Amino acid sequence: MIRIVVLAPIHTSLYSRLVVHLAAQEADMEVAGVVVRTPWSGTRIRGELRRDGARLAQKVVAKWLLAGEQPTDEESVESLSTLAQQVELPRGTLKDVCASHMIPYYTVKDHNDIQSLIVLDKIRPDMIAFTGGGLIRKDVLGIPTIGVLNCHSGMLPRYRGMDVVEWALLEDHFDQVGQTLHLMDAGVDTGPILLQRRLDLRPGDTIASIRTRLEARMPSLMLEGLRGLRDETLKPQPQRLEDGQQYFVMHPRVRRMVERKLAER
Amino acid sequence: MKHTLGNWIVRLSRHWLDDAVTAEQIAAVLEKHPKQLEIEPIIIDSKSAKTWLSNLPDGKVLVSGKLIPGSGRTLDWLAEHGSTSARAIVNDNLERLLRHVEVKRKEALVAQQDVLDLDTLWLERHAVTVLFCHQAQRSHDLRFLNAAMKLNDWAYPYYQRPVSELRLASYVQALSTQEQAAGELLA
Repeated sequence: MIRIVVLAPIHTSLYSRLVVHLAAQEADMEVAGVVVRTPWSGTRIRGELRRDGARLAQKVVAKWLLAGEQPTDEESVESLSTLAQQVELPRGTLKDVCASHMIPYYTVKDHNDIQSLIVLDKIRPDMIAFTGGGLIRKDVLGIPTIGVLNCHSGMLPRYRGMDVVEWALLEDHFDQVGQTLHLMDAGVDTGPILLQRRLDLRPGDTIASIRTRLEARMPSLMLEGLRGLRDETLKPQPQRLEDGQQYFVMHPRVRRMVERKLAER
Repeated sequence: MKHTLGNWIVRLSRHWLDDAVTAEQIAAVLEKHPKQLEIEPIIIDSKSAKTWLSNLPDGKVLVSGKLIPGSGRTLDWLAEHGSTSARAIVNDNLERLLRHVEVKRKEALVAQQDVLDLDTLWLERHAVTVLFCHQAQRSHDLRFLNAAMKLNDWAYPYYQRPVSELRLASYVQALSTQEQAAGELLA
């Protein structure tokens, strides 16, 4: 029996709820705890506001008010919310999902704070499934015996960092749109690679539709990784940093260029 | 450059810049007044660049988050004219500067080594913006143009009140260099 902990960014995260729900049904896998950040942390809100600016409002509406459950258009048939219906995800927040599977649920201010370290140290998981919530520091990374898994919405090692779907499109690397499951280390998306999936673009695709489809595939990729490490069928492949570079939040004007490029395809 | 002209441009562009950068309109205005917006060029030669480079602590332009004065202009010159070994140092520092700007965002390049007056501080920031634009053109690496656009966006609110002509001209130069690069790379 392998023990895992799920780190979640917020109690409404649909991705986190799906990972918890799916992992809880796996044989030889125990979800020994879910650690979620409290939504009310001034320091974090300031940090996110500084990083995301106006985009934070969109995130709040999507993840907090709508709890990530509202399909926006026909493109979102393949979406997290559709997946939630297919796998009969219990209604409610992450706390409710945990309650339905009898999983201990912990709230912390930050995944790196002392409260979080105490919880994780007590559980001593084999693996941590990271489903979002900022940077993870060395103290947390060192706790699980196998490692911390993260699903990155980009193809590593080429595209590390932020907005890498958009950057790959901007650079005409349409075959570099996809996602990578990797073990986290102290760098930004620099840890050993476990699994990768490319995404085929469709006519009429927009950044939003591509992101929706990528998001929908994240829970199954995470589960595949957890299973592979449990069964020892996956071997982490170290990255060569010189094969890629770090990208950052895309400026709205450059983003418009990407949208144009997609529309003209 | 007429001080009033600069302020007029900034006032005119206030609405344009509301939604991120739409500075091409500013550049279009500037094209009508090229003579009035000339900035006294700062001459960098091989000797001064070499001396500056050899004085860099550990070869880094950022020391404890503080920018070494002259970084923008000298790195730009070295990237264009420097030796292979100098360019390797330049490339390392460009990545370092890019990460600093993207992580610190509005607080980036605020702290500068031995710089106390506001004008010098802003000239240095705009010089880094120009460096990023040129680097984007040199390497076709759009991450640098992306960061330059952000730097110009973040600087904009500080130009809604009167500032020195030199500082304003320096900002306008950063904007027009951005537009030149955008015209070439985002067309």
